[in-house]
Amino acid sequence: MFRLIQHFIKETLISFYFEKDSYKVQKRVVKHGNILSQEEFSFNEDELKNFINSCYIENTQTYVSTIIDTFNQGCVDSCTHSKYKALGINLDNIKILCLKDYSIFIGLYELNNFQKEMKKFKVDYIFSPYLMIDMNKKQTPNSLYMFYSDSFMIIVIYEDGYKPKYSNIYQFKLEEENEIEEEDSIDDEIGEIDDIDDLVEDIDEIESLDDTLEDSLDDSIEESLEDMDDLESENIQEDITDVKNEIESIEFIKNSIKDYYENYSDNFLENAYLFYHDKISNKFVESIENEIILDITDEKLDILSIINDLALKEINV
Amino acid sequence: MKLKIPKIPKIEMFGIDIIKNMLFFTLFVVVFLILLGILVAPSIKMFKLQKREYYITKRQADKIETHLEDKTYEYQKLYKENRKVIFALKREFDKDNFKMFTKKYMDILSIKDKNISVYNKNFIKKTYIVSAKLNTPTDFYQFVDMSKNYKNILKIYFPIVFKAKNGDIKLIYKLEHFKVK
Amino acid sequence: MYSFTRANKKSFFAEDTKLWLIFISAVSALMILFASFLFIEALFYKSDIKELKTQIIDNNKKIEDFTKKIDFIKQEKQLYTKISVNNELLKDGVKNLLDLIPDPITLTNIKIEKKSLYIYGVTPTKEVYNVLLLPPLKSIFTTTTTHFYQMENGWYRFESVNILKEEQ
Repeated sequence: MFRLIQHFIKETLISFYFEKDSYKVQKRVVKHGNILSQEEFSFNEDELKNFINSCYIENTQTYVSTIIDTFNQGCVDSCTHSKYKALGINLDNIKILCLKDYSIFIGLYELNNFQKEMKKFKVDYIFSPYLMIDMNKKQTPNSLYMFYSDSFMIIVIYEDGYKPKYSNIYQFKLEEENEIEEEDSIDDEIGEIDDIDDLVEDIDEIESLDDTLEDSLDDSIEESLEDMDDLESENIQEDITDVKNEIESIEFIKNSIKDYYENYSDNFLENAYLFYHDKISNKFVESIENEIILDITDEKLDILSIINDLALKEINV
Repeated sequence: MKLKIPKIPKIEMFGIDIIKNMLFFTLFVVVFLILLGILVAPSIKMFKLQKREYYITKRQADKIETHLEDKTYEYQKLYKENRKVIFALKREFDKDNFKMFTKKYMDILSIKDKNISVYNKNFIKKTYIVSAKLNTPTDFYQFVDMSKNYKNILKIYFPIVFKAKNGDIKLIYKLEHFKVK
Repeated sequence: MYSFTRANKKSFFAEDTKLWLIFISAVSALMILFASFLFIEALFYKSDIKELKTQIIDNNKKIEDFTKKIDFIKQEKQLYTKISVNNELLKDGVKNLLDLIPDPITLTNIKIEKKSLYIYGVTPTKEVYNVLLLPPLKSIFTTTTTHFYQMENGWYRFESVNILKEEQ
């Protein structure tokens, strides 16, 4: 009977996650499995709160979902408690979700904190980021999957191609914008830093020219140069953060693979996949390839859609 | 072919959806009036009707009850007043007892049964012929006077014969005894 | 299940819809309650009326009974009064009759009937009888017939037959 009622009701699915400095949001309206509309937005905290409230007023059947990116979570290739004990994971502080014959877990403390923080957005479903990978796995054996985003990176290794054998998550530490400017030098080993230094010098030259010119054209140039100035300084900050993250990622991948070979399996990895949300630099992919000596297949994932797909599955269960 | 239902514009004023509230208000009024007409009004009517009928019947019942009370009182009073007569009319006539009662006035020689008949539908009249001996007619008068004190209802009637005999008077008279059926 | 948390409860109705429904239900319930209350009261009245009607019938029957009994007592009283009067009248009548007899006349037999009187007696002379006894007899009775029989001692035995006829 409930299914029958569901056939006629409209559901609003809102998925969001925090990227850089704003919330990326997707609003999808479904009816009986058919997508009636789908829109994407970028909000700050208050805008998102108001947006969700207005969606509720418009339709009481509104479901808000997000992913949790805290570090104390992973996958295990079994649902039994004995396997957890064998891996040395303390069963008291975690919540286990069993998916057929493998499971994902999360620390209760982190989950409760996250839930409290998300209360203002009236969050209904909290999904593990591992599901992003699990939903898109290629079912090839001895495969390494990586998911890279602005705030975190996760690694899952499938030995049989179906059950996750090994998992690891790394959160990128947030730093203040000011600090990046004041930082004297970034590791010379990475070539990109030289380019940035050159850019800084160029801007200084333009500014000195600025003072002597009096044409209106010069004024407009001055304005556009000022705009460029702001953009470029922002970009500089972003680039610095990106580079830092990339460095840390490679370190993280290296350590994870080492851990895998030492403690989990003797089989060599054959395939590698890299998932990302927005964009990824080819240089970064190459760097990883050089490090792990495997060809990487990279793929863009629409995270917001995946989250809403998962939410829809949850509702229809 | 799916019918396209024109979308109702959502008018909002002061944060209240007017059309929705208007519709609900209309629903409320309709429900209210229907219930009023179907349930409340008929039950009020029925209630008033029954109440009126009850009070009419009650008045009637009370009237009859007082009537009954009066009648009961009347009956009891009448009964008390006429107790003697009522009981006297129930008693059988005892010849010996009568002889004893009249000893003061006369010597009864014989009491002969003459007749039994129904008197006035409800009473039985037994006629006797009494022959007695007495000294003077005054005894007879006294006897008649005192007969009202006797336990039976007796009528003294003709023929009355006085015969002089050896210094006494022989008296013959008819005695009628009345009793309820 | 893929989510770590369960969804919050979603109501089918918006807040204002719920409010309206509750309000309409409350008012409807009150009206139904009121109507039921009146209906039940009406039923009570109905049963009371039924009771009263049976009471009326019973009481009427009792009144009838009492009326009959009262009438009967009245009948009995009437009978008694009639008899008493009769006895009294009889006594007076007999007394008056016997008082009529003058001293000189002595009676041997007197038979008093309802409508006739037979006197047998002895009188010293006819005149005494005719003067002292006959006139009153004549005045009372319709026909008076007297027969005289001479006795050895000069006195007369008489037989008086007096009859009172009904006037037509």
